[in-house]
Amino acid sequence: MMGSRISRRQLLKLGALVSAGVLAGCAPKVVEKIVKETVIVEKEVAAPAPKVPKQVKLICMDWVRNEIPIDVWTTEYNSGRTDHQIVYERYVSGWDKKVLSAIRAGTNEVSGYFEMRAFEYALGWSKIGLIQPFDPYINASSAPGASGLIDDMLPVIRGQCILEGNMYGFPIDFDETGMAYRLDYFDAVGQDGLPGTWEEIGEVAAAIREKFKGEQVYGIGSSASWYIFGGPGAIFYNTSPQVFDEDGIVRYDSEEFVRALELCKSWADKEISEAPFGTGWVSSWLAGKWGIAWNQHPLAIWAQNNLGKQTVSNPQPLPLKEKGSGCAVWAISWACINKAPHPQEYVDYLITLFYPGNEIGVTMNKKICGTGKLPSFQKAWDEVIAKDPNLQWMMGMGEIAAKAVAPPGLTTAAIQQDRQRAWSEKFFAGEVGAKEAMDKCMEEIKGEIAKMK
Amino acid sequence: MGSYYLPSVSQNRCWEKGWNVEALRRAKAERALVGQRGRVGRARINWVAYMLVAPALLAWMLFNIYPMVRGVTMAFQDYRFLYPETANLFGSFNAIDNFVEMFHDRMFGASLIVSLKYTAMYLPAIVILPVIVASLIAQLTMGRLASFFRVVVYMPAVVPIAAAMLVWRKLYDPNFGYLNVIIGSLLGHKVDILWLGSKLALSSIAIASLWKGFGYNTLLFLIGIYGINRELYDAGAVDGCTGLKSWWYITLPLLKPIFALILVLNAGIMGVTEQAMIMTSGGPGDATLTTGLYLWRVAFQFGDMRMGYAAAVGLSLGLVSAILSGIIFRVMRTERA
Repeated sequence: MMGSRISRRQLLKLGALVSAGVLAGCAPKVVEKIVKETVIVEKEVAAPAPKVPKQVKLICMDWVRNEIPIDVWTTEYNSGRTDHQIVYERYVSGWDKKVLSAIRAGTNEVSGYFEMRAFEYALGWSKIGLIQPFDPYINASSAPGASGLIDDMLPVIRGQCILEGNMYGFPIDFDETGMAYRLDYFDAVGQDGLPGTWEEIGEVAAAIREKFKGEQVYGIGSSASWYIFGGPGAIFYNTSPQVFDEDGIVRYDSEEFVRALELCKSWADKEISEAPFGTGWVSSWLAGKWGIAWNQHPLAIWAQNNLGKQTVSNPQPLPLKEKGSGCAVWAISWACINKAPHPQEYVDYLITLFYPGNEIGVTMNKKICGTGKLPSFQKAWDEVIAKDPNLQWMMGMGEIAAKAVAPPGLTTAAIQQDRQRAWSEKFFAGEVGAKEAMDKCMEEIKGEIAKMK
Repeated sequence: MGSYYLPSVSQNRCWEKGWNVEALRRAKAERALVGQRGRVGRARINWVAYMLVAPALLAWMLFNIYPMVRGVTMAFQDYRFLYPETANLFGSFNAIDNFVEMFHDRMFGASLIVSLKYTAMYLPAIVILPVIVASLIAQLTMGRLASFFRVVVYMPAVVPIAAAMLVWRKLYDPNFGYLNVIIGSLLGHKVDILWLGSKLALSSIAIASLWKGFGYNTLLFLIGIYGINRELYDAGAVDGCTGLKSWWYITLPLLKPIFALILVLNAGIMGVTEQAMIMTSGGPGDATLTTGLYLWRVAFQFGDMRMGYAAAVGLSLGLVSAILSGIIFRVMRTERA
C-alpha cells in the first residue's frame, strides 16, 4: 500500500498474467507437429489407421468366473478378432439400478449380464426396460449352431427362459434341489440304502446325531430359508402337488408348507439340526458337521472336494416316495441388456462359447459339468455326459429334469423371498406359530404386491 | 462488552476522561466504511472474496441444499423409480398420502419400535461410558501413558464402518467366531451363543456400534476435562470436595456443553442403517429391521422402488431427530456468558 510494496490487487493481476503466459506456452504446437508428421507418413507408406475394436462389456458375478474358466476362453475368443473384444466388468451390488439409469440417460455401455434366474427376474426386468429378448439376435447370428439352439434346450429350461413368447434367458447350466449324504456316517449307524421319505430322513439324522453328538456333528441341515430351492421350501416343493397359486405366489399358507416348517423346527428342537436351523449352512456342511444336507445339488460336489469322494455321496434326488412336485429346477442364464451397444457380437460370443454346437462350446460344457452343474442343452448331455463315466451320476438328475415343470415367470420374487425368510425366522425363534406365521407372510406379500403398479 | 474491539483505547481511560465508549466505537466503525474517495454510505463490496467463496458455496448448494429440497418435495409425490414418468413433482403429487400410509404401515411401526429399542440401548451407553473412560484417562499423570490410551481409545473410530461391521459379524459367528471360541475355552466346553439370533441381535449390533463410536466421544470429553480450570478443584479440596465428589460436583456439571454436543450429534441414531444392513440385513425375522433400513428397502429393493414413500419416511425421521435436538438444547442450555 505504501512505497514499493505490491498490493493484493496487483498481485492477483500478476498471477493472472503469469498463468495466461504459462497456458499459452503449453498451447499445442504439438498438434501442428503431429499433422506434419502424419502427412509425411501418408506420403511414404499410405498405411490405414488401425481401427479400435468395439468393446463388448459384460457383467458377470465373481463366483462364476472363479468356478468356470470363462476368462481363459474369452482371451482365446478375443485373440485374432479385430472388430470386437469381449470385456468383463466387475460385478457390483446394485448394478441393475446403475445400468437402468444409464439406459434411460442413453449412455449404457453394458451388453450382457450373468447370472439371472430367468423365471424369477426376467419378466420384471423386461417390464422396467432393463433387458430385451435374445430372439432377433439369435435368428441373425451366424455362429455355429445358432439355428438349432432354442429347440435343443431341455424343456424345463426352455419353459423358464422363454416367457410370453420371448427368450429372455440364455441358459448356461441349471441346478436342482438335491440331497447329499455322509456315507461314512451312514455306515456308522448301519443305514443301508437311501431314505425314501422325509420322516425316514429324520430317523437317520437322529441316529447320526446320537452317535456323533460328542464331536458336535448334527444329523441334518439346510439353509434356513431359501425360497423353494432349499430349507422348508424345498420340502414343501417335494411334498405338495401344487407349488404356486394363480398369482405366481408360493402357497405359503398351505398345509404342506406349514407341515414342512414344523418338521424342520422339530429337528431343531430335538437338536438333530442346528438352531435356528441352518445358520452359516455352507461352512458347517463343508466342515463335515452335518450328516445329511439338502439344498442346490452341487453341495455334494463341494463336500466331496473338501472331504473326499468316498466320504460324501454324489448328488441325490429329494425323497422319491413323496407325492409332490419333485424338486425345483432353476436355470442360470445370461440376460441381454436393453439398448445394448453391441448385442449381436454379445450373442455370437455366447453361442460360440457356451452352446455345445462347436468344439469350444463342447469343451466349455465339459468344464461346466466338471463343477457339478448340469448343462442346459441336450447336445451337452449327448456329447459330454453320456461319454464320460465320471459324470454318469448326472443321468439320475437328468431324469428328474425331464419330468420337471418350469415354474411360472414372476415379478414378485424378491418380496416373496424376503417375507418368507422373515416369518420363517420368527417361527423358528418361537415368536409365533407356523400357521400364523405363514398367514401373516401371505398377507404382507399380497399387501406389498397391491402397492405395485 | 460491545461488539467492537478497540485495542487502542483502554476502557478505564475512557471512563476517567468521561468519554462515551459506545459513541467512540460507532464513530470508528463509520470511518472504516468511508471509501478512499471519501464517500460515506455502503461498504465497498469485496468481489474477489465472493468469487473465491463461490465454488465452495455452489458445491455446498449442489450436494447439500438441492438433495434436501428434492427429498422434501419427493416426500409429497408418488415417485417410483421404475416408472420414470412419476419423477415429475406435478405429475405425481399426492399431498400427504405417503404420510397417511406411513401411519397405517405395520412394517414401518415395527421398524420404529426396533429403532427406539436400539436408541434406548445405545444412547445412554455412548454418553456414560466415554465420560467414565475420559475421566480415568485424565487422571493419568504420565503424559506418555495418557497419550497411549488416547490413541488406543480412538483407533476404532478410524476403521471404516463397513469393515468394522464385517469383522464383528465374523466375531459373532456361532460356530467359528472368536467370541464363542474364547468363551468356550474359558468355560472349558463349547458354547453356541447365538449373538445374531433373534434375542441378542439388536444388542450385538449396539455393542459393535458402541465399540466404533465411543472413542470419538471419549476424546470430546477429554477435551472438556482438560479445559476445566485446576483452581476449581483446589478450591473444592479446601471445602472437602475430593475424589469422587469432585468428579460429581465439579467435573460433570462443567462438562454440560460436551454432553449437549454428544447428545445432539447422536440424535439421528434412530436412522441407523449400515450396521443392521451389514450384520443382519434386518433379520432374523425383522428383529433388527430399523427404520433407516426399512426405508432403504422400500426405495431400492422392493416392488416399484417407491422413492416418494421412502422420502416421506426419511423426512419423518429427520423431523424426529430435529425435535430431539431441540429438546436437548432446551434441557441442557447453560447460562449465556
